[in-house]
Amino acid sequence: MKRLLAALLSVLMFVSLCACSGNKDKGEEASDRTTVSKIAVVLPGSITDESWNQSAYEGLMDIKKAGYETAYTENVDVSNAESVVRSYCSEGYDFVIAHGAQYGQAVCNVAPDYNNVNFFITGNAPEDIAEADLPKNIMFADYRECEGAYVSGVLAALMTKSGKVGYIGGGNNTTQQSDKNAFIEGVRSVSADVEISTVITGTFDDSNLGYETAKAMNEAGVDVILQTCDHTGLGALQYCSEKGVYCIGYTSDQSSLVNGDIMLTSMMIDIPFMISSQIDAIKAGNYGGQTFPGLHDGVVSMSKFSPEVSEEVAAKVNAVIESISKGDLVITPNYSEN
Amino acid sequence: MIENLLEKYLNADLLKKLGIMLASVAAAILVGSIFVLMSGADPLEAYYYMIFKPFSSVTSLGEVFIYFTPLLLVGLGVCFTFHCKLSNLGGEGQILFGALGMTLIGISPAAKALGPFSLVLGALAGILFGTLYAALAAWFRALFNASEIVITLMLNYIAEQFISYIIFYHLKTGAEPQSARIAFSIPKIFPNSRINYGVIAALILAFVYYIVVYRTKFGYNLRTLGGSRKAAKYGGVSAKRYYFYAMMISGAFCGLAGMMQVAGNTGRLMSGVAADFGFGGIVVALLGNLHPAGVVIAAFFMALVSAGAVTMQVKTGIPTSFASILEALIVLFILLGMALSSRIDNRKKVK
Amino acid sequence: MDIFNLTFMSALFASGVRQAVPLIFGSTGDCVSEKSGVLGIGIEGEMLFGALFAYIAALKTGSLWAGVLCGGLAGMVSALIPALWAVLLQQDQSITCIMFNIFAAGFTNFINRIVFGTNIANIPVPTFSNIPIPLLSKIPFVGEVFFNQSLLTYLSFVSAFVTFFVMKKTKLGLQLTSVGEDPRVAQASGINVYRFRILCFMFCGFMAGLAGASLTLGSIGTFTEGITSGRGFICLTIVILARWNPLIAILASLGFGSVEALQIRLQVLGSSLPYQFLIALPYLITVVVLAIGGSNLRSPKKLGVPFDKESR
Repeated sequence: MKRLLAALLSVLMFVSLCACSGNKDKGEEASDRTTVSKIAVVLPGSITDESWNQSAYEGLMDIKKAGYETAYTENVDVSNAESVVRSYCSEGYDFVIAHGAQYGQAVCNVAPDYNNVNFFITGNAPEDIAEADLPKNIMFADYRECEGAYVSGVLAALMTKSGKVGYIGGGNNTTQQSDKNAFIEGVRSVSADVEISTVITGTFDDSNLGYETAKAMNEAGVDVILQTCDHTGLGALQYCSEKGVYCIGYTSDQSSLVNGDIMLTSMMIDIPFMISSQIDAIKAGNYGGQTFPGLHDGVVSMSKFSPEVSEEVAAKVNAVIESISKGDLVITPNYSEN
Repeated sequence: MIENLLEKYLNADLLKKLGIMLASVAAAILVGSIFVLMSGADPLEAYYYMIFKPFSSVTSLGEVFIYFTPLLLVGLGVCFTFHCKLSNLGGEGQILFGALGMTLIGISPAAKALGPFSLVLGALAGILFGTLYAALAAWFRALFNASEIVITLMLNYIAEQFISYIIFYHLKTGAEPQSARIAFSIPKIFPNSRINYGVIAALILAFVYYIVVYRTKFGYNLRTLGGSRKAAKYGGVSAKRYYFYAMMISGAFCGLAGMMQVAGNTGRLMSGVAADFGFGGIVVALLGNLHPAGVVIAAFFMALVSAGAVTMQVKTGIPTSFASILEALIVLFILLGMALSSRIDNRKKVK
Repeated sequence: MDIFNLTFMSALFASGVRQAVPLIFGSTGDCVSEKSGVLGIGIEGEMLFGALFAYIAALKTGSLWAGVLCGGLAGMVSALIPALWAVLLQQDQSITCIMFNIFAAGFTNFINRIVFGTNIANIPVPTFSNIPIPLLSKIPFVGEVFFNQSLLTYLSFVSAFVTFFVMKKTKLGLQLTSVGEDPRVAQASGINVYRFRILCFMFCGFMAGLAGASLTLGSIGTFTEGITSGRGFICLTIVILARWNPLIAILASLGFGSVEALQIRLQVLGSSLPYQFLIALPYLITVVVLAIGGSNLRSPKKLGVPFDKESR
């Protein structure tokens, strides 16, 4: 009994001893933020997912080729994010990219402690932190992926023969929510009669579930499918490829993953460019704040239409793309449920 | 109990045992090195960052304790169920519900006025929610005699979706599927480290656990039940009631772990807040042999390996999958060492 | 909308059957391993091994059956790890298997990247196509649901039936029960309990490997990291629901698969319920079924208890 107490006490002592001998991890260099040498990316998923995470990885590799020292961590849970970001900062990385808006809070916690480090978040800033309170060394790229989803909706509505189109999402994050809503909006802008069925699979890893979902949609008459859910989406594409169902790819040009011309287009997010272009922005000085990349600056774009898309349809879709990039048509991200 | 254990360990061929343990860790490190080499990194460097670097500063040690607190709490919690031969695999779900309890208090308008007391209230709410969710499993077990393994596993999936629903439809303040930030977080002990007072609370609870299990009638009955149901029946112990108690206490600890996750780490409720601690805690409990000191050491060790894996990954660029391979190898080889050293004991007894 | 017409129902249940295939394989294996007294928590990891190596073998040899066999063998070999720790070293089975699962997840990702790199998409192999069974497939509804499936699906049913037969009607089955119920008596009657349990565990690994193979070669034809998505744990549940009986396990798997298929279809048809509720539906129903049918639950007596022939 006493010994146990002693053991517990000694653990406490040990902790406090360590505390007393504590040295400083924080960068002592002058807070000059216009230089970059070591770059790290924190990823929510695996670098082989063919989409969101893989494209960030490719962006990082582009940077690496340019001669910078790079590192990345995959599969980072939101609750471990702060830990990982801190490790990078204390290891002297001077540009840390958190790939997803879900990391916003974690980075906001770390940033004030590392004034000489620049941070980049591929997502919007946490809404309930006032803009003035956001750490100045973070850049948020509130990129408008939903513009691509809107265009996909327009294209899907124009291409469907059965009058039914479908969206398969992974769920549980902002981008997915706004993609879904923008897709619906895009379809509605063409026709009020097209039926839209949406499925949130709840997972980004289960390709078999994606396959079954696409099949269920197809059996219900859906003949154009947009998927935005990484590995789960790959399963959906596999079904479309087998049965010749029109589909729309996500993040990169995925047409090589399916047979024939059934992939109408892919909504591409040029994450590699979005990430690698930050280096120049940092060197220009005063890095931080918010940007809104989208169709207008090529961060979001649609890949070459498949031959299945008639010139007439292509012209209509291109007109929509044009008016969005010019700013005539504004697609506001809609994060609401249903 | 602890005295006996210490005696036993001190009298046994301690050096030999120590040798075996060290050898088994060395074996894990050797096998792991193959993987490290294959990924093109230097094993020595990798292990340095994994095991020694966390001790180099308060800041990095603080990261270890961020893992330590929930691991210890869940570990202690599931110990109660293991003592009476129940398995609570529902830690994940109970953590999530505990986190929800804390969040509801933390984001309420009253929380600002309450200040630090909101943490006390939040802890109570977290414990209550965790307990109730575990009670649901216990209720199924008691009423329908349904396997608690399956029930708790299923309740994990259900909790995950339920929390996702609550966040999406009720707690979401902005675009991100997460709650607002709680008004007051657990204060940090040192300014430049994330280690917070939750650690102290958890260590005190380890002591409470010791008292309850080894020094009270309740604990005695619980252990009798685990030893033999028949013997317990003779002693007038109602198995059903004790299963209920064990499960609920277990849920209370897990709920508190969830509260710590929100109040000491993320500051918001979001999916992923349980971060597999429910399963990590089981490993901690069993590795620590259900003994309070053992569980504390095991929790610290697992926390060290988890936090160290992050540092190692950051420094050497070894993919996270290697980190998990190494973690698993180390635990497996330690089990190997424990098995071998207990054999030495047995052989001695036979002689 | 009249959704409950025959076409919808047969498509629904056909999808349920497809999704049940890995569950049937896995739970059949787990029935045997648990009957012998060893918890099958490691199934998730063995499935991952099976899934990856089945895909690699099918891709390299061009033969789907070579892939299936290889997947099974990979699952079997990987099962030796938890078997060594849990049976021979008599360490706690849950902790060993949980660690093994973590190891398996890391290891398969690692091999996947070594073999295929990170920059190209895994090339899909052709998958098993549906082979309607003559005559039987002509039966309305039932034919479409059960007898117009792939050979892998039929194999899963056959293996569960055979396992059931062996467990209930042969001497081997009796020995299996005795090893799980009272290993000491079994040992005294001349069974080598260690060897028996390891063999059961390897059989379980083999079946889990087949389950993995059915995930990669069944419909999508490629391996993606974490492809099992917790199906191993579902198998554990099914085995307990089915009370260690492979035939009931088929039913439970079919039930689970069908509810999963139903929840997708409810979303497709535009249900107004929150999607989280629909995703949780299979688990909710499992809990309810367990509550209704779970009484008189009797697990093998020495399930999860390591056997030590020297101790008394």
